[in-house]
Amino acid sequence: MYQIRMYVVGKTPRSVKAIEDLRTILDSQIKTHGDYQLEIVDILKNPELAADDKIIATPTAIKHLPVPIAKILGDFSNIEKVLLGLDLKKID
Amino acid sequence: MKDESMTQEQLIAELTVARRRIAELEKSEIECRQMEKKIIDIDTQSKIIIEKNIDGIIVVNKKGLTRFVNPAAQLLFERKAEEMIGALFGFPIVAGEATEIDILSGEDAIVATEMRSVEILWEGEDAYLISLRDITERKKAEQAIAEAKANEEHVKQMELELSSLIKLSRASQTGVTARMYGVVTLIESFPDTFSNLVAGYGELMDLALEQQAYKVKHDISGRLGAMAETLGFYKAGPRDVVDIHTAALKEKTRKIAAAEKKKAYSGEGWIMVLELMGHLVSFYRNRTQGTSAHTSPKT
Repeated sequence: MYQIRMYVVGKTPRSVKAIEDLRTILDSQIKTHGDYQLEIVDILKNPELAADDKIIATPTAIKHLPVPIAKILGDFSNIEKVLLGLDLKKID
Repeated sequence: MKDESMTQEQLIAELTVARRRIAELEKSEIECRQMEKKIIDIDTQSKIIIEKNIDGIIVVNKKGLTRFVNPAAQLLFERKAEEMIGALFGFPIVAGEATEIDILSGEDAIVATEMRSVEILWEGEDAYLISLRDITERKKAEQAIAEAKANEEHVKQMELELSSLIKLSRASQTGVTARMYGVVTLIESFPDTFSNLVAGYGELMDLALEQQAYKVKHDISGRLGAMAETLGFYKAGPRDVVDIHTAALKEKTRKIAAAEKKKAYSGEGWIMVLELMGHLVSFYRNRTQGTSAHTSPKT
């Protein structure tokens, strides 16, 4: 099971797009060979969680499992870069 | 003897080659040292530039661990370098030239930031140099421009509506109104009353704006009802209401330049004209019912 947590600020168009982009990549690249759990955290509502994960910018996604922990931030529309940043393998 | 002299010649030749080689190596070593010095100079210069840069700059290695934070970035994040260095910042993903992100500055501030990223060699390690520019002011300016454009469009629309209303008001008396009341317009028949009504309507517009801005309560509806009664007394029709609205709106917007206020008058004006029409309709309906009740024969 892949455990990924995504941090955003409110429901801005940028946040919504980042969530959609990441979900699309996870659906196409992860779901086919295993399930994943994507947790969306609004740092305005849950600052403690953001502090625990040392989040200092958004949108940021952090992969907790499988280890090693990996973190990406910025634009999530590029499949290769997202997979590379989260240390995930691309499905050919 | 011959062999000995050949050996000597060979030795001299080899010695010459060796000396030349030594000279070349010495030259090469000097060049190497010069190159090394240049590299150090460039590195030092780059670090000074990065250090003094007004943009926030962070260097992270390929694992996303922070290696360097310049003072501008420390200011942007409201965090000290020692808090950030060694921490997992993350792998920066930039689409095209730059990507917008939100930075959590200090405890609760959020700063709109433009992020750029380039791959560099940092102290012998492959890394990303991330530059961060606070674009809060730019975003505010963009928003202000967008709002100004929207206001401009609204004012244009309002002017068009006003122009249509003027045309409507100047058009010849409609058959229906003329037949209903058999009179000319209020402005023609009672110009003083018309002026008073325009002034009263204008005051109500101001009160409506005040109500909206300062959250105070004025009895605008009641005063519009009273105005409708006056209009009814003079047997005014919808065209007269439009005339009053148009004249008051024109007068109010003529004196002001601010698009925002013009928009506010226009918005409030439309609500008021509709309400006044409604009151006038109610007035005539009540009169009609009263008259029919009064005139209906008893059975």
